[in-house]
Amino acid sequence: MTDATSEQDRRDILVARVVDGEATSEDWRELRALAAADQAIWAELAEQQDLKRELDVAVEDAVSVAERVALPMHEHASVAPNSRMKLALTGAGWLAAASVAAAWMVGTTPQQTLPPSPVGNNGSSSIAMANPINTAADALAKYLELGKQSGEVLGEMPTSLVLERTPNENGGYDVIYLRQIVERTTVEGVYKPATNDAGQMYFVPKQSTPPAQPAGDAAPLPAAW
Amino acid sequence: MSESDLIRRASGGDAEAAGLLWQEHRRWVAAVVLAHKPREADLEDLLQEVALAVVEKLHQLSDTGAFRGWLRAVAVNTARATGRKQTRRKGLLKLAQTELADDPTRHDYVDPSGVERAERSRKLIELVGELPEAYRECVLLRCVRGMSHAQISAVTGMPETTIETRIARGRRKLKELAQETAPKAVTK
Repeated sequence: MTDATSEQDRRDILVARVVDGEATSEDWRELRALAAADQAIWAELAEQQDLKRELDVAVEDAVSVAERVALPMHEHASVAPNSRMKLALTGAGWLAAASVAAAWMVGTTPQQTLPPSPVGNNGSSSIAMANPINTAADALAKYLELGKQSGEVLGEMPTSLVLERTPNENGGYDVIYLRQIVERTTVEGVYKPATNDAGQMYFVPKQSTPPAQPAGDAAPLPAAW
Repeated sequence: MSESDLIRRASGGDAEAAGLLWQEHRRWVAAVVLAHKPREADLEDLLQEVALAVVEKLHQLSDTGAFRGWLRAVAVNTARATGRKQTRRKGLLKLAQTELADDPTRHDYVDPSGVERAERSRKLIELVGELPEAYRECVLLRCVRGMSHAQISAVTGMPETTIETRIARGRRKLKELAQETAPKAVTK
């Protein structure tokens, strides 16, 4: 692939400059001269403007996930203690800061000083509320507990789906599995994915029908939840 | 505080400075990862890996002027290396999702707000993925809060004229791809 510019490149560059709002008066003159010979350039310009608008939205949407990603400085030993404390206070919140402070007081790591965290379906233990979040299991237990309180989480399915298992050196297995957590949300309407004759996916609105009145205030959840 | 001061402090182990630098640059880093990741790999997961690699390697950065190029190199390497591993795992997850989708007791509840826009955006990003690699990164970076050719040049190390040509060619190619994949009108 060569970066040497051709006539087509020059045309594309002029269009791109106009689309980006960076065309000079000289660029405009050149574009008008091209258009005098080929009117299609105006249609091209309009198409590129539409494409640019959609592309800006698509890329901004896609890269917005970056806002959720912070630097995990606390996982690196070379960070100076003062900076580490500041990061914990500002980034990870007071819970993490408290655990770091406690670890320095007793001269050990948080995991060594705390009791095992509640895991699995029984995530609503009061231990999880009282202790800082140090592990993924702690975070999950907290998520389940807060979600149940707000009504956004109904519970976790009692079974997990095993995706892969590999024998390990200790005679056991490394297992990759899928957890299934049931959540509740409210939406204005319900759409169902469908496929048209050309094989393209689209969404069909589903007619809403009033739900049957439950016998009590709410349908009972399975006992395991 | 100037950016070179921030970079100096961050490479010396100052977490606050490192955090500020990351916040300033992470959106374009995301665009770089998007340009170089395998199709099936998850962008957010890869960004987590990039963030971790930055923390681990920041102390190795000696030339503050080379920060953007260094950060891009970390992002590209992580996107390619970690992306390959993730793709394999995603394949397994997709299998599982297919099994769940086939379950007749399962219902599809989709929030209609933004569904169409999200679908259009997803398709467009997929099309960008089909552009030649040389064009992809320049086209994407140009869309991140209107990064200028000079700013893209500082990241990629390429001359601004090359960047301008690649963006112009990339957009033309993208328009052609979009026209090829657009639904054809049915005539009776």
